[in-house]
This record gives sequence, structure tokens and C-alpha cells, in this order.
Amino acid sequence: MMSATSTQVISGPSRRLKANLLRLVVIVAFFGIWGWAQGPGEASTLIVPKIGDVFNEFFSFLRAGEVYDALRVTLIELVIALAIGALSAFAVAFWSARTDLRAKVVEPLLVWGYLVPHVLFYPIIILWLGVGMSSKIAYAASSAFFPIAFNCLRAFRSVDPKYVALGRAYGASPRQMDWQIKFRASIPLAAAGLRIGCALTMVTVLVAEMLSATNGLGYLLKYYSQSFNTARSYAIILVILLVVGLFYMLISKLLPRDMERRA
Amino acid sequence: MALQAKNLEVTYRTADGRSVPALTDINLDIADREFVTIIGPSGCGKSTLLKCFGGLLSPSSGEVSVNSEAVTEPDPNRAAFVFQDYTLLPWKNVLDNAAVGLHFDGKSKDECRAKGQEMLELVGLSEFAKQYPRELSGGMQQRVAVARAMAMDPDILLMDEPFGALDEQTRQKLGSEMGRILTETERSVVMVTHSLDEAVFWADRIIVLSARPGRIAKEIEVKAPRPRSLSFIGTDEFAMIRSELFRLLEVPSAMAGASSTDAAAGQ
Repeated sequence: MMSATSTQVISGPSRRLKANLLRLVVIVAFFGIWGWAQGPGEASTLIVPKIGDVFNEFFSFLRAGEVYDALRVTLIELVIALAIGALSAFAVAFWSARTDLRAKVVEPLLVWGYLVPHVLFYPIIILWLGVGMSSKIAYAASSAFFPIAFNCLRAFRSVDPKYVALGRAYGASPRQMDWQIKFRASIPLAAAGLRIGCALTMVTVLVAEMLSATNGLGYLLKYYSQSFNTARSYAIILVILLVVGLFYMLISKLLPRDMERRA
Repeated sequence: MALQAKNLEVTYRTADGRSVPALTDINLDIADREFVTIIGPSGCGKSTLLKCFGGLLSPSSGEVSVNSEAVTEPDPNRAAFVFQDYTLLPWKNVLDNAAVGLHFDGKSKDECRAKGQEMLELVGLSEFAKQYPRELSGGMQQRVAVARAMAMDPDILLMDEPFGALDEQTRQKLGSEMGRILTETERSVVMVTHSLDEAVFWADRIIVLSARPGRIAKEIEVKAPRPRSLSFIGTDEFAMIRSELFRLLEVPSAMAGASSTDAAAGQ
């Protein structure tokens, strides 16, 4: 799971240098093994393509229009799915957190929805919405909904009572208590849920495109691998990895950091 | 009369439906500018009493009034709290924390800032206004909490073991500084403490609570004028009162009648 809930603090320039060197070593070793498999290892190019071929394909992708079109489709699906999933999850969590009864009823449902493999419903979603973008959005939004809703509900329910006492003692109105104390105090935990939701959205969108679609990065990957174009498949994986990495970086930047160290 | 408690009684209901008396028969008058410390064995209901004074908790029976107005809900302009664990909001900077009560009250941004800054100056933290609570030491955080209470211009200050979470040195340093601040502002203060030294050092009057259910076992007046310097700790008056407190709190039979009710209510 890509839920980076803990922020690691590596302090000092020498430590950072060490960490970066180690990362470099890992990357070099990876390509070393790849190169070896291609040369002395005598692996088939159908299984492990030549490194140069992959990069050639990658750069020709960047020049041609096809991949941008697929990228646009995938990104639109991603953003809309995440927006729908997160907003509805937030609304449900906020509503459920208001009373003990609602929370008691809703929480197990969310856990259940979290655990169920949503891919089961994908064929039915396709029946409803067709193979276009809307089925990907619906599927990804429904998978993102549950972890986000569950974490938000937990976050709203577990606000440290001392902050609530402070709000009462210093005259916060019910509205101020809701938004400026309870909501604000629950942001770190809710953000952790949102991170999980993001990761899930990316996975589900790509998987859905691979299962059945007419466009998108996942669709391209399936198409190239099924036509035994391994170098191109690897190149598209590279594109996907870059997109996922950038998307995740963006989300991490937007979400508040884990600043609530015990004051 | 700043604060008055009449026949105050608090009973808790446990999960299995039994009722456990926490406080009983509390009658107390606190004068303007009086500094009252409340001390008692742990679990005697000191903090509960303070919450009743501030309206955070409704007593089962009896009533609390501040300046002849009945206390039914918290009002920081009437009685402002200083909590033991400071409870600054970690997402607000020091200045906004100091002004949080004014902000809740709907005061304008400028007004909040001005008053907050003034209060931070009072507690000697004006240059830390833009910093966040986690960047401050415990003693500094507690000073922010005091500034936050003072910003409400309350009739009475309710302090729940305000120095309890601090180490001894910080506690003394902060203590003597607080003494100046609290005396200068001429407010009534009720301070709950478990430290004998603190109870004597600060108080015009010490209220000793008995073990559960808490009741007023003894009231002791401290005559020395405030603010007191640390040298007060070396005086005979201090030593005598301290030893009496020690006897009351540490020798079970000294607090007449308390131990038998404790045994009955204990389990």
C-alpha cells in the first residue's frame, strides 16, 4: 500500500547524500542486471527487451500524438474518479460522524465495502455504462470511496477530547466546533485516507483500462503486450510509472503534512 | 464576591448503572482578587470541582455563580481555563492560539492580533508570535495558555495543575514569573495543584479536599502578602502550613471522616 502516513526525517546533508548514493546504486544494479540478462544472460527479447529499444520507443512516444491522447483520457478518468470518490466519501463520513448511532451503522458497512474486491462489479458497470470513460470513472470512484470514507469517519470520531474541551471552554459555537476544532483536528488522519484512496484510484483506473477500454494508458499497455511488442510495452510502463509518480507527488504536495506532532 | 458555590454535589454514573459520588457538600466563597489553591489526594475531585466552576460540567445538585450570575455553561469572559497539558491548537501559531477565544467570539482579525500580541508581551513571548506550539518548550506553551486565558479578560482564572507537566526548574522559574503576572492583573484565581509547595506558595487561602467523595476538609489562610518572593519558602509560616498540609494529606487518620467514606466509595 502506498499510504505514506509517516514522514521520514533524514536530517543532515551527509545523510541525505548517503541515501541518494544508495538509491543510485540500486538503479545502476537494476540496469546492470537487465543489461546482463540481455547480453550474457541470453534472455529472449520477447521477455526482456533491449534497454536501448525501450528508450527509443519511449522517446518516439513522446514525439507521437498517440500516447498524449491516451494520457489525457487516463488523467481525466483519474481526476474525476478521485474527485467523486473523495467528495462523496467526505460527505458520508461527515454525516455519519454526527451521532453515535449513525457511526455504528455505517462504519462496518465501510469496512465491508473496503474489503470486497470491487473488480467483481466491473463487468456489471461496463454493462451499465459501456466501455468508455464513464465506466472507468465509476469503478475507480467506488474503490476510492471506501478507504477514504472509512478513514475520514475514524478521523472525525477520534478527535482528541481535549481540543473539544478547549473549544467549549473558550466559547466556540457549534459551527466553529465542527469546522475549526473537530474538522481541523481530523485532517492528518483523513489525509492518510485520501492518500490510500489516491493510490487505489490509480490502480483501478489502469486495471479497468486493461480489462476493457477503447483508450488510455492501460489500454495501450494491453494492446502492445498482446501484439508481442515488448519494448513498447516496457516503454508504456515507463510512461505510467512517471505519471503515477508525478500524480502522487502532486497529491502529497497538496495534502497537509503530518504536522500535528504532540504539542 | 467573585465566585460562589452552594451545596455543590457531583455524582458520576458508571457504565453498569451505579452512581459514584465524586464531590459532596461543597460550599465556597471566593473573593475578588483572591488566590485560592485546591489540594487533595488524587481522585478526590479537584479537577471536577474546577470544571463545575467553569461551567464545563453541570453539578448534580447545588449551584455555582460568578458575580451573582449562575454558571450553566462555559463563558471564557467569566472564567477562563488554563489546562494542565496546555492544549494549544497545533495548527495555529502562537499568536492565533493566544487570541483563539476572541476569534471564537467573532472579534475582528485586527482586534484578535492586537489583543493577542499584548497578552504575549505580558507573558514575555511576543517574539514567538509566528511560531507554532511544537516549536516551544513546555514552559513557554503554558505561558501561551495563560496569555490565551488573560486575553478573555476574565473575572476569574481557573488553573488545573498548570505547572504539573513541567520539570522542577521550569516550574520554579515559570512560577515566580506567573506570580508577578497574576498579581499585576488583579484577578481571582483558583488553582488546582497536587504540590504542597505550590499550594502554600501561591495561596491567600488553601482548600483541602478529602478523599472521594471530595468534601472540604479544611481551609487554611496564608497571611503573607502577595506577590511573594522565593524566600517566602524559607519562612516559619510556610513551613508550618506545609507541615499541616502534609499531615492532612499523607496521614490517613488526620482527615477526619474521610477515610471511612473513601473505603465505602472506593469499590
